Amino acid sequence: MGMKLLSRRQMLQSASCGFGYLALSALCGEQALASSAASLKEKLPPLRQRAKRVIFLCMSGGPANLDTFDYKPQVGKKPHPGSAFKFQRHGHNGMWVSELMPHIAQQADKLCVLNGMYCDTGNHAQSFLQLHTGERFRPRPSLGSWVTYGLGTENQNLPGFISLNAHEATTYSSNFLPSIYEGTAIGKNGESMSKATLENVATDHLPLASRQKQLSLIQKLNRRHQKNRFEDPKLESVIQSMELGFRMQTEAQNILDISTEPDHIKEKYRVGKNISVGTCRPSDFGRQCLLARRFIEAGVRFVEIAQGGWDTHTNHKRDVKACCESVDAPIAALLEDLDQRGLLDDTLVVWGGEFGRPGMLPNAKKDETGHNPRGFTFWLAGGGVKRGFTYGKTDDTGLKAIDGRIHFRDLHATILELMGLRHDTLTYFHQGREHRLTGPDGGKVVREIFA
Amino acid sequence: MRLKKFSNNFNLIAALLCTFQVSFLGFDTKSLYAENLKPSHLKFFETKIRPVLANHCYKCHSGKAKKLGANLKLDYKDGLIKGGESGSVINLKKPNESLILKALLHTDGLEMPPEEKLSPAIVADFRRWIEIGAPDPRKLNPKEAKNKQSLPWSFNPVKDYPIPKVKNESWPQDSLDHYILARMEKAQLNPTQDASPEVLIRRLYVDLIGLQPSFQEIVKFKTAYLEKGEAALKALVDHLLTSSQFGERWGRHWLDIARYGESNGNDGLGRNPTFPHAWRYRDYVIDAFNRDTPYDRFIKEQIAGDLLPYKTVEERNRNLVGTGFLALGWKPALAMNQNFEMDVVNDQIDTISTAFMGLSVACARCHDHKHDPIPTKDYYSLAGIFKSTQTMWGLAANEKLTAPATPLHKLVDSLDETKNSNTKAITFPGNYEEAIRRLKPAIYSSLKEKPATLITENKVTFSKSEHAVMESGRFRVEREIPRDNYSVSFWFRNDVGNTARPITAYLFSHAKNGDKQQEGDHIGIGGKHDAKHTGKLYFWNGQKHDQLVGSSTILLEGTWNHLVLTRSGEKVRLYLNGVEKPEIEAQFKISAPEGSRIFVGARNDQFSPLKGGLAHLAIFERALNRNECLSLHRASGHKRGTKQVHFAMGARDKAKIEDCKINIDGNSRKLGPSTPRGVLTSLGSFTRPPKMPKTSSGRLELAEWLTHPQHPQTSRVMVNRVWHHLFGQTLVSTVDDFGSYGEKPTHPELLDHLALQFIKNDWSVKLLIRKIVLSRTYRLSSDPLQKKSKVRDTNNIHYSRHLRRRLDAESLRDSILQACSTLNLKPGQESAVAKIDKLINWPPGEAKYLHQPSAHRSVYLCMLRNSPPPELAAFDFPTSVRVHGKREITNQPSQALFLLNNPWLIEQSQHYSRKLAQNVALTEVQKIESIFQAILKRTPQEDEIQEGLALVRAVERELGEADSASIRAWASLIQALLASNEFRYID
Repeated sequence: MGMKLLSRRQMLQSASCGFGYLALSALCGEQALASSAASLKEKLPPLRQRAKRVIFLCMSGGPANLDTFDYKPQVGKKPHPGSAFKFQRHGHNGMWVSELMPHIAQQADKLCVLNGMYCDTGNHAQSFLQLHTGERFRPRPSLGSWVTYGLGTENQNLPGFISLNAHEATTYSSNFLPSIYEGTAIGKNGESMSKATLENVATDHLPLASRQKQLSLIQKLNRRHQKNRFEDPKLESVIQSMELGFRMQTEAQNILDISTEPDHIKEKYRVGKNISVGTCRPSDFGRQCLLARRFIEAGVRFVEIAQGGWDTHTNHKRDVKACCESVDAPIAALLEDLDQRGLLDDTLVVWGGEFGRPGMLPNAKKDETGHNPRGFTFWLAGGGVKRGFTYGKTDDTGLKAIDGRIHFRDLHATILELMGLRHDTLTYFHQGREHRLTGPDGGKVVREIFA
Repeated sequence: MRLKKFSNNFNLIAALLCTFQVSFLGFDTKSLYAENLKPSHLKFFETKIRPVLANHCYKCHSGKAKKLGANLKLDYKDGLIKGGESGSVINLKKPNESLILKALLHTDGLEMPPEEKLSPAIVADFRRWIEIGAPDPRKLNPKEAKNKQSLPWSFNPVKDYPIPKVKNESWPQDSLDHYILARMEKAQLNPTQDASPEVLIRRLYVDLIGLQPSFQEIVKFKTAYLEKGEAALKALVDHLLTSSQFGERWGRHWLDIARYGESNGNDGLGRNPTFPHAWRYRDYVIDAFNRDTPYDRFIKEQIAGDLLPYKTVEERNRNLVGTGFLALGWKPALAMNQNFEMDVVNDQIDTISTAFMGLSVACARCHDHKHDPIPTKDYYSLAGIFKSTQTMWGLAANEKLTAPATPLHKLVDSLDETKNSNTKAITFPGNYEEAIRRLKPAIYSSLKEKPATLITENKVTFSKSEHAVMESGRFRVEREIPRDNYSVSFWFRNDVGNTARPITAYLFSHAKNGDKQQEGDHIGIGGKHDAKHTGKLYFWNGQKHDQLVGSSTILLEGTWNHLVLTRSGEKVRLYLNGVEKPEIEAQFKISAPEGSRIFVGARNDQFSPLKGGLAHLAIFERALNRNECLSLHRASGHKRGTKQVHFAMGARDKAKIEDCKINIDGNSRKLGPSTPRGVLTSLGSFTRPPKMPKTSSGRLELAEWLTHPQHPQTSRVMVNRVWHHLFGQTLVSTVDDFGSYGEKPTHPELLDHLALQFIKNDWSVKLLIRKIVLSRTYRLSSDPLQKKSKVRDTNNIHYSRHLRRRLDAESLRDSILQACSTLNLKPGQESAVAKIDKLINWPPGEAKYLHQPSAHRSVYLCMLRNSPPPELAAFDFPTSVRVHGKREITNQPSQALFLLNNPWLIEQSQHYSRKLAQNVALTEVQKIESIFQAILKRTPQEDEIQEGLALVRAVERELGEADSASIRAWASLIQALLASNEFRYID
C-alpha cells in the first residue's frame, strides 16, 4: 500500500539511492509495480521468527513409518502388524530409530519426530497435492510460494523458492499468487539429478568475457532507448533484471558447481552414489542434499529436494531398505553440516511423504504393504523445534494416530508459525474471497514441539 | 456454504431453507452498503462472519426462522446491536465481554450453536470482527431490504449516450475520441502528440497481426503517410485486417479465452492424456477471425454449432468443430471423483459465463452467489442444458481412470456422406473378374454367391450388391497352399467400431484349423486391447514366436478396403487400397506348420470373426510382384488410398433431454428439487426468457439469449477485450469479471457507445478493431507531453498517451524468427500430437520430447497443458485451465536468462549470422546496417556501428581459433539486438 503514495518519479528517484530498491523493482511484476507491492524483498514477519529458511526432504510414495521412525514391536500374545526391521534407542533421549537409518540415528539428538501424523486420503496424487498445497482436488499455491509470499527472500540474485527433482509443476506452482513466488524447478521431467541445473543458466556458446561484453552492449542499447523516451519504470526494471539474470548465471552456477567442495564433504554426502533397486530409482540424493545446503547458505528461502520410490508394495523389505540407504547418509551429512555451520538454528528441515504404510505381520508370507493415511511419521529438525524429541503416537499396530495428532493443515500452520507467519492472516484475495494455505478449516499450530 | 454439517442433524428441507435464505441475502450488493465500510472490513465480514452466521445461526435467529430463538435476529446489523432477551450480543467497548463470544465459546452457560462448538479460529474471527467495530453491511432488516435489490453495473442495459461535446473540436477523428477527449478536458488534461509514422506502423503490425513490419515497409509507409496522410493509414489498416496473419494473432487471443490446450492437464492422478484432435478447433478459431465471422454467430457455433442448419459441407464441419469449445476443458480424473459428469458441466458453465458475460456463475454450484445475483437455482437451470449434452473429448488416451472414452464428431468430405446411403454395397466393373483371373489364382470367387471352391462356415449370406455378408462365419480353403510362397487378395468391410472389441477382427489365417497356439500367418485389425493398433492392420505369427508388426493407417468402420498379402520366402508384404508403399513390409520366418489351411474372415481358431463384408477373394500359389498386387486394386476402378474421416472434439445433444436436480453443497449424490432448464433469471428482463425445447438440450436457445442485441454483457465484454489488446489497458480492468467484485468501467459511456456500434456493425470484430485503430486516441505517442504540468495523468486512466507494451510470448518468438528470416508464414499443419493418443507425462519427462522444432508461427505450437512450448513458457504464457482474458506481465530474471542463454535463441542468431556470412559482397559496416534494419527496423547511428563492430571484434579475438569464430561473433551482436528493449517493446 505504501507504494501507492509515491509517484513513479519519486520511486525512481529513491531508486538511485540504493541497489536494494532496484533489485526489488526489477523483480516485481510490471503490473504489480503499478498496483500493489508484490515483491521478493525481505519482509518482516509479524511473529517471532524461529526459522528463516526451510529444507523440505520430500519422500514421495509414502515412506514406511513403522520401518523407519515409529517402532512397533510385538506386544501381547497375539501377533499383530508392526515393524519388520530392528530398532535401537539412540541419542540422549533414547529415540527409537530403525536399523535402516544408521546415519540419521547418529543425529537423533537433532530430530523432532512426529509420530501422530494423519491425512485425508491414501490416493497418492491427491495426498501429494495436499501435502504441498493444502488442497486435494485443485491446484493451489504451494507451501514454498506462501512462505516466499510472506517473507520474501534474502538473496535477490537467486530465486526464493527452488524445487529439485519435482515431477509435477503443481507442487511448486504459485497458482493464484503472483508468479514471482513460483518455485524454480531444477531437474523436473525426470532428468538425471547428477546433472540437473537451472534452465538457461549455463551456456557455452561464448566465453564469459564475451558474454560480459555482449551484456554491456545490450545495456548500452537499453540505456539509449530509455533516454530517448519519457520516464518509464518498466524500462528501468528490465535493465536491472538483465543485470540480475546475468549475475544469477554466475551465482547460481557457482552454487550448482559442487566441484569446489572438499572431497570429504562430497564423500560424506555420498554425492554421485545412486541406488537402483526395485522401486528405488537413482536421484543422486547426495548431490541434492549438498545443493540444498548451498542454496540455503546463499540465502534461498525454501528448498525442496525429493527422493521417490517409497511406494513399496511387493518386495517391500528390499525396496524400503534401498530407499532408506539412498537417503540415510546424505541426510545425516546435511544435518551435521548445517549444524557445524551454525545454519541449523534458523533452518527448518522437514522430512516426510504423502502418507505412511501399514505394518507387516511378523510371519507374513507375502512381503507386501499398502498405503496408510491414518497414522504416519514426519520429522523436523533445527529452526526452533525441540531436539531429540518425539511427539505423538500411533496405536500398538501403528495403524492409527491416537495421540498428538497432526494433520497436513496443522503441519502447514506450524511451519508458517515457526517462520514467523500466522497461517490465519497470511491470506491472498482471489476470485472474490481471501484464501489461505490452511483453507477454510484452518490449521492448529503445534506449539508443544517449539523449543 | 457448507451444508454438509447439517445433513446429519436436519432433514433436507431444513438444509434447503437455509440455501434459499442466503439466496435472498445474496442480493444486497454494494449499493446497500450505505455506510462507507472499508473494503478490507467488508471483505472480512463477507468471508469470515457472514457465512458462519448464515450457516449456524440464521436457522433460529433470523426473519426466516420457523421459531425465533430468544427473540434474537442476527440477519441484519441492528438485530445484533438491539439484541434479544439477553440484550445486545456485541460489546464494542469491551469486545471480550460480548455475549456472542461467550456463546460461541460455550461459557457462562451459553452454548451456541447448541449442536457443536465452533472452531477456535472462527471464534477468533468474531473477536477480531468486534474489535474492529463489527463492520456490517446488512443495514436493513431483510424484510425491508427485499424491495431494494440493486444489481451490479453490468446488469443494466447498454445505453446510447449522446456523443459528448469537446472544446478542441479539431482533435477527434472518430466518435470514440469525443468520449476520451471530453473526459480529459474535464480533468484539465491534454492528449499528447501523435506517434510518428515509424512508431505507428510498428504498433499496428504487432497489434493486428502480431508481426513486425520490415524496414522497407516502414520506409514506404512513412513516405505514403507524409504524402497521403489518413488515406495511407487506412490503406495500411485494411491491408493488415485482410492479411491471413490477422487470424493467427487474434485467434490466439481467443484461445486464451477458450482455455485452449492439446492435452487434458494433470487429472489429479498425475495423468495427462493428449487431445489429438484439439488443433482443429485452433484452426477453426483462426479461420473465424480471418473470415470475420460475426461475433454472435461465433458464439452460437461454439455453444450450439451442432444444432445449426448448414448449406455446405464446409459449413457443417465448421459448426461441429466450433463446439470443441465445450470439450477442451481440463477434467479431474473419473476415478477420484463422484461428481465427474457435473465437473465437466461446471467447466462448461464457468467458461461460457466468464468468456461471454464476464460473470463467474460457477460459485453458485455450491452456494447462492454471495456477491452477484446468481442463485443456485440458476446454476442448475444452466446445468440441465449441459447435462442434456454429450461432451465428446475422444479416447482420453484410453485411460479409463481419467475419463471414459467418448465418440467424436465425424467430419466429412461431402454432404452425401451424411445421408444414409447404403455404404454396404460395392460395385466393380464388369471386367474386374477377368483382370483377376489373368493372374491365374488357384482359387477365386467374387463372393456374390456361395463359392464352390471354398468351404463356407457358420453365418455367411450372399447378395449381388453386398457380396459376402459376414456375421460370424469364415471361408476355409480345403487344399494345401504353399506356406512359403503365396498371395491373397480380397476386399473387406468391417462394421464394428474400432474400440468395441479387444480385437476388432481377424481377416486372415494360414495355420492349422483350431490350433490354439495359432502358429502361422495372421492378419488382424486392432481393437481396444492395445491403443497402438486400434483400427489398424497388423501381421502376427502366433503365440509361439509372437512376432507382431503393426501399421499406421486407421481403417474406418463401414468402409470397403482392398488388401493383398504376399509372402515370398521370409518377406511379407501387405498392400492396402492400391497404395504403392506396402502398409506392412517385414521379415517373418515361415512358421505355419504342415497341414495348415487358409482361412478368411476369422482366425484359424474362429477367434474374432469379421463382422461386415468380403468380396473378390483370390488366392495365388506364388508371391505376386508389386505391380501385380497393385493391378488387383487398379482394375477395380476404385480410388487409390484409404478413406479417411477426420474427427473433431465437440458436443451434441444426448438422446435423453432432462432437467437437472440441485446438487446440495455441489454434491451430485445429495439431490434437491429439479430445476427447469433456463438462463440467468436476474438478467431476464431484456427479453423474454427462452423457452427450452423438449427435444433438444437448449444450447441453441442459450446461445441465442446470449447474443440477443439487448443482452447487457455480451457486447460490452467483447468490446472491452478488443480494447485491451489494442491499448494494453482496459475500460473495465477486470476483463473476466463484470460482476460486483469486478471494477467499474472508467469510461462507461464510451464502453456502451462501442458496444452499440459493434452490434450495429453486425458484430464485426474487424470493423470494431478498424474503428478503434483509426481513432486519434489510438495513434497517440507513448511519451507524455514534455511540458511540465501540475495535472498529470499518472496511470494514464484518461488515455492521454499510449502505453508502451512488451511483446507477448508469441509475438516475441515470431518476431525473432522473422528478424532472422526463419519464419515460415504458411499455417502450421495439424499438431505434434495429432496422431498421439497417450499420456504425455509417462514416463516422467516424456512431454518435452513431444514438442517438435517448428518454424511456423507460435500459435501452431503444441499447447500441452502442464508442459507449454519451451520457447513460450518463460514469458507469462497462460496455464490454459480456465478463461484467461488478461495475461500477467512479469519481469523475472529467468526471462533475462532466456534472452542471454537459450539454445533456441542462440541457434536463430547463428543461423542469421551464417546467412549474413554468405553474402561476401557486404562490408562490415553494411553488415551492421542490415542487422539493425532487420531487427530494430532502423539504421544504426555512427557510434552504434562502432560499438557493434567492437563487440564483434572482441568476441572474434577471444574465440581465436575456435570453430566458426566469426559466425559466433556476429551472432553475438544479433543476439544482443534481439535481447534489447528496443526490439521487445512497442511504443
